[in-house]
Amino acid sequence: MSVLVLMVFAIPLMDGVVARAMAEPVKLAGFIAGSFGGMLLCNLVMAIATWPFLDRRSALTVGYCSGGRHNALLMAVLPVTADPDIFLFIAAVQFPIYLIPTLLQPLYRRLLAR
Amino acid sequence: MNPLSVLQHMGRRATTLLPFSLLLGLLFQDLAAAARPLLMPLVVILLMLALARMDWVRLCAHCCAAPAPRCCWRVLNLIAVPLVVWPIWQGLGLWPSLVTALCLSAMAPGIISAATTATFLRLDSSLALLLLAVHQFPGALHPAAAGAVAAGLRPQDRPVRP
Repeated sequence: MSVLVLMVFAIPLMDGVVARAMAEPVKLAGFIAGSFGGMLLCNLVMAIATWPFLDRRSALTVGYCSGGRHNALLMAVLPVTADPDIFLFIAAVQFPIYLIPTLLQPLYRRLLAR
Repeated sequence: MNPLSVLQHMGRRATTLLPFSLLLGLLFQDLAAAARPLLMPLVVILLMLALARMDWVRLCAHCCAAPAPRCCWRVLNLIAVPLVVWPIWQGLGLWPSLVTALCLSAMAPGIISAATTATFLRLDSSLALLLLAVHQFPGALHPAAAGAVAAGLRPQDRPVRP
């Protein structure tokens, strides 16, 4: 059921992304790549910081929770006159939110199997 | 076809199915625009489903543990992580707006769906939900982030529109 809700949730998040991709393809690609890097870096920093103090599964969980951020909250706190690139980033960051579980699953399987 | 078995099958293939939902949104932009009002109700449903799947015994054990680790995690996640990643992004020569967005993102609280997707990855979903709950309070972006926003969005930094 959670999978179904997540799948439905992803659809409206992509609203307007195609228009931005056609207008600024390089920038959108850069923002998507940057958002992937941002999530993975935050994940790595927290996992490494907690690794000596927690068991493996807990440290990986802490890292994973640190990677995904509630960027839509930025829309609530930023003024209307804020840089529109911030809103481009909020759209771009949906890609790693939905793709990183697929990318990290083999790594987590290997690390948790030990 | 049994709906329950379909849902179970989807659960086993979660990490494969999720990227396809992004593709659906990209291919059907009119549908994406029409579905925007569903965002908030779906967030509520996701949280309810995450709570329904919880191992409450394990969650209580985490809650009853010493509060110091949770406080440390909050400090690490909201303050230390942004301080670590900020110079890295600055040093890479990225678009200034992207650097600002990445740093702001590092100061934002965790995303609720992480508790759900943690289940698919066989991580500790109870711990994930507790961490995300701790992270949401007392506020979203904390004052340091607000200051960074104010500093980063000075009028002279805004792009000049043609």
